Amino acid sequence: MRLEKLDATRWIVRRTGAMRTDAVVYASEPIIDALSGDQSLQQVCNVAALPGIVGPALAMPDIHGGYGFPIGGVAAFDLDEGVVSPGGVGYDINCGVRLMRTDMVREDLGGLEEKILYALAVAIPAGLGSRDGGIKLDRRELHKVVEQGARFAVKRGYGLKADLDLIEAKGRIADAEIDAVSPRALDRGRKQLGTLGSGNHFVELQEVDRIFDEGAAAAMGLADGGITVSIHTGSRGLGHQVATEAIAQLVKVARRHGIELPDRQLCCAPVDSDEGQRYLAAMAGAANFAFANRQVLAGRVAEAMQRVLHETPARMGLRTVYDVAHNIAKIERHVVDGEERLLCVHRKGATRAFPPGHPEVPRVYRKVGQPVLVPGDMGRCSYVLAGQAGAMERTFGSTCHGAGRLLSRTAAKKRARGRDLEGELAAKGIHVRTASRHTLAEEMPDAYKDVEQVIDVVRRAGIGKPVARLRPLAVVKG
Amino acid sequence: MGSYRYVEHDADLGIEVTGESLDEIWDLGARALMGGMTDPATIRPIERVPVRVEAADLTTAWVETLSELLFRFDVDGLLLVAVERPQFSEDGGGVTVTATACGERYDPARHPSEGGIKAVTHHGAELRRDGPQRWLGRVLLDL
Repeated sequence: MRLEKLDATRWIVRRTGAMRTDAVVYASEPIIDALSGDQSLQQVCNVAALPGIVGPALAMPDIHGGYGFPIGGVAAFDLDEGVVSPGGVGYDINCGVRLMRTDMVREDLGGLEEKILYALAVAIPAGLGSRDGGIKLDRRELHKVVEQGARFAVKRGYGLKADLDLIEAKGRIADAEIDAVSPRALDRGRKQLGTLGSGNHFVELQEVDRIFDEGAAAAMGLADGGITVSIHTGSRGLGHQVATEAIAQLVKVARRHGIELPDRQLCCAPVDSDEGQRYLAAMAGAANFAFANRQVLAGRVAEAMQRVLHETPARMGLRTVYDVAHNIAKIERHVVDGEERLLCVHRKGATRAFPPGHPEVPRVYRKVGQPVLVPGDMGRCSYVLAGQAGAMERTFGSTCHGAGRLLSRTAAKKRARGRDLEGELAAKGIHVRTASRHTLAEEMPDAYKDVEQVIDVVRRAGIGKPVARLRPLAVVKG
Repeated sequence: MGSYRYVEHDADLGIEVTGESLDEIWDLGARALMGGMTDPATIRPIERVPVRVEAADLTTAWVETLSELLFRFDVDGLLLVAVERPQFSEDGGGVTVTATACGERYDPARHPSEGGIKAVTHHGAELRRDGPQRWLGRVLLDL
């Protein structure tokens, strides 16, 4: 595999062998250097070999090894000749981020950060014990979650109707079909609405520590020193089961359609086949579950903060900035070689980043671009970006989704040995609670690339414009 | 005598199991899987549930057996730490495995949380003979 530098922010592996198109990675020299010995570059090339791919197979600067697709992977497929791949979405369908803002600054918290942290940890089941979110759903209600997404949660009293306009796809992908979601997937999700999960999922109390674009920040309700809350989670067991079953089925389907698979996790079906359509319908249902889950958690965040600060959400100015998916496949309209086409865009560890003026960007952000939420790590910072025209032109309206891991979980635990990580974070003014014994070590800041490196690449590449930087104050980890 | 170990992966966790027989691979695979969630030594094999999977080949059958154990945890809260007497039958180009899985219900007071597992992946999964009386299995867990 020969990797060539294309320009200041792009590297390319030109089409060769089984590849049907080029593989292009957005990166910097240090990011490319860190990929040596990693399987992620090969994974981008494997994606480039799938039938009906349109444009290059892409990877964002937070690229790291995944299953089938790399994390940070973006690929678009023709609806007639192309494929849809559950490996291009991932097991945690519609894993994503919700950002909430307030009118408060640090002083308004009155030194109660630890109490807020405790209240959040009590209100939001996390870790191994997060199998039960405490919301009883009968069969009919669970069907509604799958079909209605965030709207169901609002009807149950979590958050506001106004939130729905501030969620990707308004919190509901219309293609969801309950019959496409297996009874086993429904069983697995039945008790899990309102849970965080584990691994890299979190709820984080933050403050805005830098504004890069005053106009966009004002439109998003973000001001220097303002208190925000981010939620990172997905479709929980329901989505995991949809993905598990689809992968088992589509391995056979790909064989039947004569599709060569360099990796079984790249299994796929033609978009227009029954199996492809069925996966898209089930995936949409799981995505809706995830939208509902983040809506419930947002409601629980509001309740927890109200309990500690004795202020209503309205008086705190607590409201949703945006909610965006970073593991999903969507049917979207894009211009390719001057022609407008409907494509199946896979984003696996990549975020939609639609530019100013795009009709799917909420009206309040239409002039500044879609908010893009990019978590970093629990010790440094996270970013809010705005979607840019460059993303529409070059990356199918996509940009990065996070910092990307630097150390494996085992390596992170080794590096943490003998260190007081909680003390180190506390010295930086960051309080943390983890549901699992090893999570703190596995998720420590050193385990991640510096998100600043990733943001620098997307800024220079014109596929995301920094709006604000958020510094963690208190973190609940799964 | 079989054994298992955890293998490094970028973001997730690999498990590698060796055993003298497929029975041992199935049994130790379950133990390794539970070890990704809690301390397997804390799980008592006091509840028994039947497990049955059908798959195109042996490797897929192993991945799907482990996926089934994960499913039982999410749905019933069962930590299934052992697999007894797996029966393997081949027919029509596929493999069917039936077995009894043993464990107990998750109790946060007794089972320390090591974190959750989202899925058992097919990525790089393999199960093969690695000597006259030795089997080797590798699988990657999505955390």
